[in-house]
Amino acid sequence: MTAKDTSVTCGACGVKFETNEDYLKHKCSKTGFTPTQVEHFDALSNGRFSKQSAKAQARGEEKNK
Amino acid sequence: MAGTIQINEFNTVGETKTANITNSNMGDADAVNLNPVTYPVTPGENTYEKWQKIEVTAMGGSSAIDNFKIWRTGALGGSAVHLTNARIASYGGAETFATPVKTDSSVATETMPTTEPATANLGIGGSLTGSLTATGSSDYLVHQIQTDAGDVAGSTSTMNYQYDETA
Repeated sequence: MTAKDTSVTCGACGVKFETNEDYLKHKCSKTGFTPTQVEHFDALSNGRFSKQSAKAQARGEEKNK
Repeated sequence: MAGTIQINEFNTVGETKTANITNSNMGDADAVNLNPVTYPVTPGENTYEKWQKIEVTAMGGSSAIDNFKIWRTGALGGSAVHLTNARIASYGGAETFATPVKTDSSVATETMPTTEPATANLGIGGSLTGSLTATGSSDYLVHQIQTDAGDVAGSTSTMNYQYDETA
């Protein structure tokens, strides 16, 4: 039986981390931010992440009126 | 502030995780972000299964994230079919990882929706009504394209991953 590989490779910078916790804490060399920061996702999507998020929030607020 | 969400993919017998994938290209290899030109599918055969999860890396001030919906937009080549474990009825619960195969998937057996499902079709903690109140992941999303011997061209389509955030 093969042991589960608990390492995580960052899809952005390609660096491999021993644990998911380590991955979430790392400052990605491609974005300059950690994978817990919106800026990380904005850097990878030319700012689309925040724009999409803002639109979704507006839809939600409209729905809740 | 919104939560931060990414799609992860798991490959090979070791369940090797690549976080925040850049595409969901499918082909004749169990590999993340693969080049389908390098790994074309022989007509009549299948792609390797994709085993993916939606991961919330930060709640961003939200109290809950749930209602995961998965669907594809765009046609497949020829008469190929796209199958998944995601479904709104008779959901099979959280799948346990198995090395991705290119034989007919025993997990991905329902046609991938091509419009937004009416309700969640991918669970959290094994339940379609599950919810994340802290960082964590969805159940495994498993999907595979099965081609027909007459299919001679690939295709490009879009995978949609949707969720709700509650402030």
